[in-house]
Amino acid sequence: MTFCRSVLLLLVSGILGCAGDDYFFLRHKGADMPIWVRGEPSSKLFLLLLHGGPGLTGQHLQILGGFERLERRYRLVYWDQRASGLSQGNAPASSVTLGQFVEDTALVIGLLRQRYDVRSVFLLGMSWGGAVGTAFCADSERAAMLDGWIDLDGTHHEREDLAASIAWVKLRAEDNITRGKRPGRWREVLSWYDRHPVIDPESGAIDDAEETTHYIHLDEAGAYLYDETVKPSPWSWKIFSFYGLGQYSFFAESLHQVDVYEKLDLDELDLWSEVEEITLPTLVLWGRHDGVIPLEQGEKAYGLLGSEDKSMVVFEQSAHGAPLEEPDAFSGAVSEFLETRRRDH
Amino acid sequence: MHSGLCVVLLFVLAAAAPITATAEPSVAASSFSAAYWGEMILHPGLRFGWERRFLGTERHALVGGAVLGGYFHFRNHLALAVSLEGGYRFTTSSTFHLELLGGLGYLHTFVHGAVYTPQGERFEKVIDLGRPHVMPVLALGGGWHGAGWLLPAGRRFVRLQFFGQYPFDGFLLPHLAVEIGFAPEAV
Repeated sequence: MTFCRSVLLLLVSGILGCAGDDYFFLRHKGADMPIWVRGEPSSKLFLLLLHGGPGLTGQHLQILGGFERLERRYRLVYWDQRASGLSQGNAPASSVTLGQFVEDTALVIGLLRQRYDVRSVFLLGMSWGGAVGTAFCADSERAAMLDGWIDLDGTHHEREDLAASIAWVKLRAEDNITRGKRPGRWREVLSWYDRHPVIDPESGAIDDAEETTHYIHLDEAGAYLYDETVKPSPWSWKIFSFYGLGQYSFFAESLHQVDVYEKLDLDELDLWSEVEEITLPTLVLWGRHDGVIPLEQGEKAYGLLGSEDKSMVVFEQSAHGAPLEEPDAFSGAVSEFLETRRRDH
Repeated sequence: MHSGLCVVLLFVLAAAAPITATAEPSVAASSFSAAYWGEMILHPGLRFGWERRFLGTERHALVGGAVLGGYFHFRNHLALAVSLEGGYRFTTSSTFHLELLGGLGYLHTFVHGAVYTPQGERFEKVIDLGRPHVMPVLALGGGWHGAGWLLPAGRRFVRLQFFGQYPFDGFLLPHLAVEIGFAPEAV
């Protein structure tokens, strides 16, 4: 019976292209958080990914070329945060806080160390994950669990990031008008910002409805992808096996995004002092054309970092998605950082 | 998983088979049914139901009954469900029918994978006893009465179904599902 079950599981895993990887859950404070460990089985270096959003799944990242390349050499850990992506359970609203996300991150690292022969752990946070990683690494006791920190297009200050992205859209709109690219539409967008500031100039309050419209403008202006043609084909087996046959749940991810964003209330997010407290070896990665969290925010974070061992790489042909847009450059920069900072040589 | 695929194959073959439509559909006052239940269409499961016509005629019927089922969403969850469902079914003289059904049930879900929980400095692997949920159901369907190669004469149906899972991180999580099944003629 056990043999038959093993054969069946192997068959299903093989069909879905997930043979040799591990999938399990961390249950804590009402949340069942999935952890997917993929990559080179002999590697004792683990790269834990903190996904964006908040509320998105991190598990689709395995489709992106940059992470595919890293999986050939290292163990990559795709973990969905509580009340996010493909997490399940019934996490109480009071547990959906940045502090709890940080606590969960420490637990995931602890669980990895118990399950595997772990010699080196690095943390890579992208977009919203940059905030979780920054809050985690700012504490020296927690930072001692890691060999290094990689900040990819990370957020550190909600209002400043938002103001920078609004300025980015306006600049792009003016540029498009000058170049004659749908000038009517971009005049309309500029006029909308005149009437809707998104951030109240007096109180500093962020209008949620206006922020949503701003994100639509961002997408339209190419803030996420510099080159739209790099999007992976929706018809590939890898995509179908994850989104169609695999663990993906459209409704869970969609509603988690809306729900967790409301519960977290990020308007007051300000992590600049935490950035200054980071002393871990740190690699800052940014897309030159990122309009969601524009490059100047990355340069500010890099300048404030307390670490003496820090470096920054700017991807010239990327916006907010370097692992997809420049997979070779991205995986090359990450590999170089991992190889020179790993402590298991 | 294997049995789910067999059932899908069975229904696909049956649906593709030449249909012998009966001139006068003999819709029994009560009937059992079996169906493929695919959450998001592709995550396989089975549903077994019993229903009874409470009001109306064979042409305009108000039906109600109980349904038991389960499905498997790989690396996400395994679900078991029981519900009371009812609604309106309109049958044309040419044996085709349309139906609108609703109901309320109980859904129990188990995550698919080992579960670890922190116990002091260590992590313990625990047996997942699952989580309870309330399950509202709404389905729109249609079908015909006939006989095919592999199935006896009876009512075949295809339903597009929405069901809910509450609570799920404090909200109602909707699921889309498809039901493809049949109810044999005589009980």
